[in-house]
Amino acid sequence: MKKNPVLGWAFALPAVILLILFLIYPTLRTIQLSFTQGIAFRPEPYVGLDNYITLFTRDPFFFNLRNFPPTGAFFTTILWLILFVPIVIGLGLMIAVMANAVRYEVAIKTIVFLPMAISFTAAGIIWRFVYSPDPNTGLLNAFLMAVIPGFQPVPWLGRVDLVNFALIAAAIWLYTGFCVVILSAALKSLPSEVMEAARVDGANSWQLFWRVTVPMLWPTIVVVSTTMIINVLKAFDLVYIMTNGGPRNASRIIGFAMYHETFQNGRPGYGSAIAVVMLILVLPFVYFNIRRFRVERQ
Amino acid sequence: MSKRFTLILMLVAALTLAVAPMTSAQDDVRFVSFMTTFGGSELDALMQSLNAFTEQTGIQVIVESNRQLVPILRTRIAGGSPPDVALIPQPGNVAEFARQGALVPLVNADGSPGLIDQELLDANYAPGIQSLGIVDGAVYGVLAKANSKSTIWYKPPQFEELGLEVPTTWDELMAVQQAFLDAGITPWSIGGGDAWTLTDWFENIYARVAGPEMYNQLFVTHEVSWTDPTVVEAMELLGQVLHPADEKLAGGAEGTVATDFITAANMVFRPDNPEAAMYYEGGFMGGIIANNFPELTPVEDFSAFLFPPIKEEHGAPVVGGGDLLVAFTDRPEVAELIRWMASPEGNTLWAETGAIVSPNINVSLDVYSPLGALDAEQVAGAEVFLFDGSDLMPSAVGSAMSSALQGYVADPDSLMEQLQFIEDTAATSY
Repeated sequence: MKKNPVLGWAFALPAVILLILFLIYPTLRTIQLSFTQGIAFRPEPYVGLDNYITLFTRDPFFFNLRNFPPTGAFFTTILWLILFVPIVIGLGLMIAVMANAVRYEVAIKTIVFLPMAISFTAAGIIWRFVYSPDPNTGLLNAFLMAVIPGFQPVPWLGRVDLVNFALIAAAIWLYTGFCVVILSAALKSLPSEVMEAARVDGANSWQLFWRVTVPMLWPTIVVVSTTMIINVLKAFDLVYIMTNGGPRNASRIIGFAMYHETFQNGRPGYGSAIAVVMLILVLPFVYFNIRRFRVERQ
Repeated sequence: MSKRFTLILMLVAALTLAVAPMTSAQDDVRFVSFMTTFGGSELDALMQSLNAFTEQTGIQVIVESNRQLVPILRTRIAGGSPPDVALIPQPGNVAEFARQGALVPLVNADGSPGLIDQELLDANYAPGIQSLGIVDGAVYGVLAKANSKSTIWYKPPQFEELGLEVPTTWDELMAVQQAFLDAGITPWSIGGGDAWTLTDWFENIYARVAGPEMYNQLFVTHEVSWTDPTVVEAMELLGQVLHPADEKLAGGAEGTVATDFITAANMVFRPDNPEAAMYYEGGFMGGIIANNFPELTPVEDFSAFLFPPIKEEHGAPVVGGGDLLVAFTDRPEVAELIRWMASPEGNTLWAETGAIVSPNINVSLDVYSPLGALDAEQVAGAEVFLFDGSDLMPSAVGSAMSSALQGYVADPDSLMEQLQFIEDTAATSY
């Protein structure tokens, strides 16, 4: 068929209009705002790189190298990446593979997937109850007090040293189901001949898992991982609902810092600078994902 | 041109039209859109007054209620579609919006009428209350409701049991605290997870240590530094309540910063296993406690006393909060609503519910319930009414102060470091 460039553009036009309106224009505007004070969201007065300089040198809640390990929203997000992504993928893979081998697979997968059906706001509220230091409402403390004699209730969300781990655990609970479903679907589509061949050659189940299943699932694992990394970099809701960045701003992450500075503190220019930092962090992973799609299509 | 191509063009045109904003014709209905943080019973109380307004004028009031008022207002202002009026709890934000040009003056800087005139204000509000809504000489807001935040809540039967009397000085309060410690009872419960409870504590102490003038210089103009000796002195007095946290605070330091203000009050007033004896927060707590524990009789089973004076020369200024009514548009309906809300009639209907204390001088004290009267007496009887300081500061400094106070709860030795941190933030924010 003869190619008609006008027709092609006509088809693409609605999508292009929407992209420009809702993606490209806001991005450019955010970048512009980040070089200003942005009072009332107007790009004025111009302050050059001041916002970025403050962000990385004078904002102890964003980038603080004076403590060890370093603290602030930037490093808390890195902590999330280090802990959340491997655990959620590992758990997801484990459950997918194990469920695959039993009869009541559907029941297990349904239970694990259930949290995905709850809105993040509701999940945040549920977990706030779970972590409450008052054993009358705090499920976790009530459980630990029942199991361990003499256990004193721990305010999981009130301690600077615990709060991020508590939040990450809640996030894992939310996202494991998603990983299980995707990995499980990929697992089902693996050619059974390869598995059989490996078994015939005398591979035990351990070897089968590490030498055959994991390498064959690798492209899916990579895609799920990049999706999870992007989810962490843009995360906001759990922190907003469960701790509002506290105690003492210890649970701020980049997405939350952006919201707080822009809308609560009324500094859209400063908040935009945080948004740009976030964009720069996300871009490599988005690029990587797109490139993978292209490679797969070819 | 092929037929198919024409068809596609038509489809594209149809899509574009569908995306175009739809317009609605509501011109014949007179209405005012009204945004507030109130929900639940607080909103029901406000509606008593607003419904009467609708009955009298035929103007519908469309209320939007949201706890995250300020973030939403910012986006609505930036988007060019603010509500007609809003009740804003922070005068600091009123000033910010006024200076951005987002608000309509109620009375112009030269004294000429804006939406309403100065006589209406003078007839109904004391100068100290009026001044809360003034920005650069013009009136932008009317204090629609007030609450004392100088109330310490306690259980009269427990005081009686231990032979304690309501303290009228700081030293007596410390003696009461000691009596509870001696009896093996944790004296305080503080909902420090909501950091504003801690800033309220500090503000009451600071107003009593340094007086109203320095209070305004610290919070409003930042002429007084956060490392000033008066601030240190006030913090050290606060430390007498906070430290050692394991003995004096229910849940210790960590529990305190993980507990919200309502849970903290429940820990004092629940009939089974109460964890502490006293709770400091505003007059609005009365309604919340009564609601959570219907088996308790207000005033008899739980009551409040005025935060005691510390230095004789400064007496006991009432620190309080309130909501300022502001207008974003200048339609005649909006002016009518503001006139109603500033009138004794509109205020009395609202105050009768017991949810608020009206700062309107023409509202009789008889309208209040026994609990409301506790609060109203403090507001009406206040020699000096100081607005909640953290609401007067730029938001960023308020955040820094919250964080610093939570840090001080955890570690008494970090005081100077925490104050320096607030000072550093303040230095770049005014």
